[in-house]
Amino acid sequence: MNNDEETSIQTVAAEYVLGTLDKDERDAVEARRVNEPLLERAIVQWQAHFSGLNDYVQDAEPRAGLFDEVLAKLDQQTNNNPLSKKALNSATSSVVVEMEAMRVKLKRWRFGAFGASAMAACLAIVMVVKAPVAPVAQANAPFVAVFQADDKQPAFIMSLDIETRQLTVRPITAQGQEAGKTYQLWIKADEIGPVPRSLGLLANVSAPIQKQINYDPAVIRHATFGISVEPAGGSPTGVPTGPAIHGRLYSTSL
Amino acid sequence: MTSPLLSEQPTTESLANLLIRVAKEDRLAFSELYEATHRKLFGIVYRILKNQAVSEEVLQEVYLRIWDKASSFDANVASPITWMATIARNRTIDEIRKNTLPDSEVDVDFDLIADDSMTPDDSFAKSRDLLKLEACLDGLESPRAEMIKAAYLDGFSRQELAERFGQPLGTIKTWLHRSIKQLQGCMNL
Repeated sequence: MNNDEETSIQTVAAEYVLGTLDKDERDAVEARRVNEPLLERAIVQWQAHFSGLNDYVQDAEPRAGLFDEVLAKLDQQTNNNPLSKKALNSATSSVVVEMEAMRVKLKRWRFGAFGASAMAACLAIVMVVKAPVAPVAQANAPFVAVFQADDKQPAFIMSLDIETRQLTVRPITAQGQEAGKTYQLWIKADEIGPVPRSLGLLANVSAPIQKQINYDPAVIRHATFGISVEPAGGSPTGVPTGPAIHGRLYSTSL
Repeated sequence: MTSPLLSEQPTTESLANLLIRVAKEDRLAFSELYEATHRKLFGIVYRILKNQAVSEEVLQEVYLRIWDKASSFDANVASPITWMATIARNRTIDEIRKNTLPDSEVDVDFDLIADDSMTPDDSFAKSRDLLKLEACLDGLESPRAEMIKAAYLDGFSRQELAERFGQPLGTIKTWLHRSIKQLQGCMNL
């Protein structure tokens, strides 16, 4: 890395921590930090550098009873989703995916006028998963998602070890992209913003590809994962520009 | 409610232990953690948002996030209070960049906000982190240290900084970049 790149990473990390970036810039940094360990490290360092300034802040008192409301929300979450965080963390959950080629949901992904509509038809994207209620005995079984090429043929299978947050994408019938194009993997969840965040490129589809995913399990659990076709080097805008489809994962356990 | 005595201030170790228990879904520990930290975190949120009701909503979300993320807390990376303050600031900055908030409750709070702007909360001794940062901030050309503090503590956007310091936006960007570069050199010494 040259000095300019180092300076640029430090500047963007420091401005992110200071809070002076506008919304689009913040979103872009949050997308990048997932895949850029140097940026992530710089952010953590600047957080530590500036944290002393918190001493300037005068304590303030919220309304009494606020914590009871927090606990009530926690109960609500638990009721809505019977899978406890503990069960998730223990990663004993095995999930299988049911694929839906939900064309309607295509609208949730931004398409550019990238003249690749033909490719759109041959990619399907999958969503993760309601985690199972009853943990399966098999320890460390990963979450699994199937990225369907069409109604029958999976293009990719993705497994996710929720404990290590290690994600493996295994191409099944996916073909290598023509020159100048590549597949890009995305995550979309309300908790991490209004637009999909990149999880990196799937440049070489001839072998399994491993990615570290740094979102917390509660977010991952509800997230949508997508694969889009992008120009070589990845989306130039930070959001999907090429065709993409997504579906939804379901648990087979009850 | 009275503030705890200095001797009862939560320690890094006690907060870290509470977070470890929260990661195991221990609600009693969560309650103790809230009691020990909510005034500080609410102070951070409120100073930026300057609106009691919105700040309270944000604080609720902050503690729900702390509950969800407690298992990812790593004492080797950050102190517990820095880790929690980061969650609070991130959520708050997202909020203020996302929305136009209702007008500040100026008549109620403005003096309070102005009063402590340059004085550390005296219930805490100045931390080592702050001493080091202040030494580095002192090396910046005036009024850039104030600009950095206004950005961090009050959540000012570049545009707001431009208005506050009476400078064009481009000048503020240059100040920010140069200050960051200078601070980086100083902090990493």
